[in-house]
Amino acid sequence: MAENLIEVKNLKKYFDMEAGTVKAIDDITFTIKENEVFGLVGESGSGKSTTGKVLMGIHPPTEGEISFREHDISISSSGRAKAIKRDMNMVFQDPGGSLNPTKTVLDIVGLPLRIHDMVDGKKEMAKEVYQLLNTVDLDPERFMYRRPNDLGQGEKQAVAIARAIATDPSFVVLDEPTSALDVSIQAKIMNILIDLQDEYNMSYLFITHDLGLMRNIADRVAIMYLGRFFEVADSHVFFETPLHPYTKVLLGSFPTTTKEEEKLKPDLKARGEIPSAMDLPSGCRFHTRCPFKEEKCLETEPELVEVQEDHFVACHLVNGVDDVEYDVEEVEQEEKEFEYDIEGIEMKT
Amino acid sequence: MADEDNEDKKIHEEGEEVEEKVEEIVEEREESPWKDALKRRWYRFSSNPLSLVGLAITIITIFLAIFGEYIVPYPSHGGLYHNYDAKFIQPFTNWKYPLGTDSMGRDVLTRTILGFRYSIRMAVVVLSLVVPSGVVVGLVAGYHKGTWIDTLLMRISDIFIAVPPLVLALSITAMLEPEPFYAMMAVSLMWWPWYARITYNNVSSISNEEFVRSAEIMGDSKIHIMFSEILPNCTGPILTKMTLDAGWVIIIGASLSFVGLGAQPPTPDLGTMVSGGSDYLPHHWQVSIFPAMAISFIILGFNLLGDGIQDAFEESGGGS
Repeated sequence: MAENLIEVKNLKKYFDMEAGTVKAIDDITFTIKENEVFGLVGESGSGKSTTGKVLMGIHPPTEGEISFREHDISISSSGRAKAIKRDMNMVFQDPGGSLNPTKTVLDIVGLPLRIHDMVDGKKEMAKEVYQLLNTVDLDPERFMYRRPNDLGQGEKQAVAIARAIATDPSFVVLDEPTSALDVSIQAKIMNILIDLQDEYNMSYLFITHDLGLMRNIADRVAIMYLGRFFEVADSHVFFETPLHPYTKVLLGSFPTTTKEEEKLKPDLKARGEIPSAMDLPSGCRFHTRCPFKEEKCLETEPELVEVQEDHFVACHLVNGVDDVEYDVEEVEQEEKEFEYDIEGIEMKT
Repeated sequence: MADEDNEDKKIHEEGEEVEEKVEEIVEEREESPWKDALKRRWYRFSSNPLSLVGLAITIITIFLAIFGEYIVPYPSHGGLYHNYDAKFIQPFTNWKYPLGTDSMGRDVLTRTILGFRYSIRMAVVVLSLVVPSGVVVGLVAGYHKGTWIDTLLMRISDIFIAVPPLVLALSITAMLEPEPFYAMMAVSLMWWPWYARITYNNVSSISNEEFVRSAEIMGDSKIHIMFSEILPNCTGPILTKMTLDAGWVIIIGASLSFVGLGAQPPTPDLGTMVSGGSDYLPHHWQVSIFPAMAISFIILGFNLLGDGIQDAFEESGGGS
């Protein structure tokens, strides 16, 4: 069994705003193993990016513990040991903002090497950067002396990736690394990321709202909603036998290409929009949109429980794989009748 | 076994090849690291002919300030020289004195050209005191936005900003001696907060950029983040303000001289000359009008140049 690289216990992150407190992360616990790609999915506003940023120390946690190879890192990055900072890095969503427009690619990718005294002098740095650019499929001779404004989005993100792996870290947070890119470039960047993970034996925290990408890269997937995890499972379990209603809804929103795939997909629709993290619903925070909600869902918040080995679900209606209290088919039937009613009404008017 | 050796050798050779190549690229490019950026900025700068005019005027101004005394027809006219036979020659009437002469028969052209040096000296001294101090204060405060460092530094600079530089310079020089040195110090004391403020505004927005977060999580030092990551992104606005301020400082210097609190006669300071010549207006207008035009010329140059610099930095400045 692989060692735990990152352990997160009861992590909370609240932001105090003028209008009230935003509970961006509200009590999450998880571990990321060595050499593992841990996927984190959720809608925008679910707190997934904040989770990445708290792990990297951009925001200090409000409560809870984070440890990295058993070193406590529940503080902002300025308080962390330099050796730990060298061992983890991050790729941001917007490659434009994460690269300094006044620097050349050489200086950008070489910055972490310089910070950690891994190179001596500019020439040595250039040699390292040359190799790093090769590993992310950029021609070093063409790109070394360009500035970010002269690069395309995909090239910028490749530069950001080269910088993230420069110090040979064991852990990299990828915060929606492809969502700002064209689809054609997405595939290329994803391939680079997958190859590098193999080559450098890194663990990723891969944050995205794109379930298709997640399926390609993640070993384990967690689904986040309003600051909480609803379901955590191995990737194939997550996609094949999802248990939480929200997971089913999300997988239902996943576009399919063939009729056969269409049939396999749970057909449920979440109603309405994600509520505000400032004003959370009582009880289970998903009840406002859940097609199966019962009375107890309005009153008590479900805990994340292990319903089967390595498969955690936070739902009152799910107590085990064989003990799912809700019946998908029944609800589908109801939904169809509901739609039928609406059509009927429209016909009359 | 042999295969392995060959492979090792091959890798080694490849490594050497890369090394050579890298060295070539680095050497070629490190000679002119700013070339590309400058070329782009120059293109944007030169697309406006007025900027070029401003640049030309500023170059002429600086040239005259440095080499003026070697090219003027009568270097001795800068001092107490007098030749009452030749006093108040009207301009454009005598080819020996193209711009006429003043009350002591000194060549107005000579004295005006020599005057450039005093104006530029004022601007250079004040700016070289004010810009570094203001920028450092603004940079530190802006990067620590919201902390006590920010509050302390910016409140102090607010105190200084509340006093108009000209008024303080007037009172200090009136209190002490009417000397350009005191004027420069007084103006500098009141001027740095403007640089603190402009830098602060730029830095506090650039500090929110993700490349700053990125440098922080990688463990970069605060000093390096401030001076190497953030500061180069605000050079545009600072440079623009510097150029425009050079004109303002010259105006203040000239104003002080005009009221008799700056350079004293017979120093060929432009402000002093305007003031001295004003007694003979309007009949002997050349004595004060030509130095006054010189002041306008210098300030026009700096203003046009400042606008041009602003254009050149607009797009890439401010971390956009």
